[in-house]
Amino acid sequence: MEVVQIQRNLVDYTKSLFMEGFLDGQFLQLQQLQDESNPDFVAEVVSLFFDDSQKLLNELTIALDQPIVDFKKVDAHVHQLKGSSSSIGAQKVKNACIAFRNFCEVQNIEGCLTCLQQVKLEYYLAKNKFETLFRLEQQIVASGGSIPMIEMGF
Amino acid sequence: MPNILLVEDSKINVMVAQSMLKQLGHTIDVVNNGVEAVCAVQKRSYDLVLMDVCMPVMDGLQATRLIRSFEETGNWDAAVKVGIEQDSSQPDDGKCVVRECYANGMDSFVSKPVTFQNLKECLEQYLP
Repeated sequence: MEVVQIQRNLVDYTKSLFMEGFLDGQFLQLQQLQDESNPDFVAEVVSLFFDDSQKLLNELTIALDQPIVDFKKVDAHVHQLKGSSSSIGAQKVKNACIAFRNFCEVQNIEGCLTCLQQVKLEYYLAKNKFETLFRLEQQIVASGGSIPMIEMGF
Repeated sequence: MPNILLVEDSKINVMVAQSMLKQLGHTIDVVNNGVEAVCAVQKRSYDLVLMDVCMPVMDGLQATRLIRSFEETGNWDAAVKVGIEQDSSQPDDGKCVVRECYANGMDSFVSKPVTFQNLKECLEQYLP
């Protein structure tokens, strides 16, 4: 496939992620931080996010499985996950965390457990989407092309 | 060159803020909690401290209170303290993050997620 076509695919795919609510404007902030001196910045930050998030989700699973749930601890983990997801523009993960925190506040265990499942789902979906995105970028770079920037005016 | 200290426990947020500040022409020192922030400010004079609010060991509000008390009673130079935290949109439930930041001695507040524009405006205001 020609590099121009892959570039078009990448632009269309990225736009679809914005339209479907997976990404928000903060992702464009990250892209602006990527340059010749920092060519893998976005991939590095997103990778760090997914490693961190996996640990947080494991901690949350353990915390919510305790006979007496420490809701402060649960809320602290969700707060952290909300913060990091919002920092990279992972909007659906962030929104799932917002709902989660509401249940933590009222100490509703059933609500928290449902929200944990939702956050896990959104996490895996986001991971999948980002992996596809980076695969397209790698194909472009391997073909000698450059990563096109997404304009916000779409 | 002004001295900037970033106090933030999340590695992701450190990466993003550090890169943004680098693109705005600044290299910064980074510590990861309130205790480290108090130690850092004791060792070196900073013009600006960007302080995350929710952190382990010691949170940003407590760290700011401590630093302010040392500034008022000791020989520490006063730095501008800017609180950074996820925006709390709860109005008057006593948990408003912005109000707490100001009440604990911060000069300003930047909402998370931190953007170029927010940081740039903050730097222009406090590091002209």
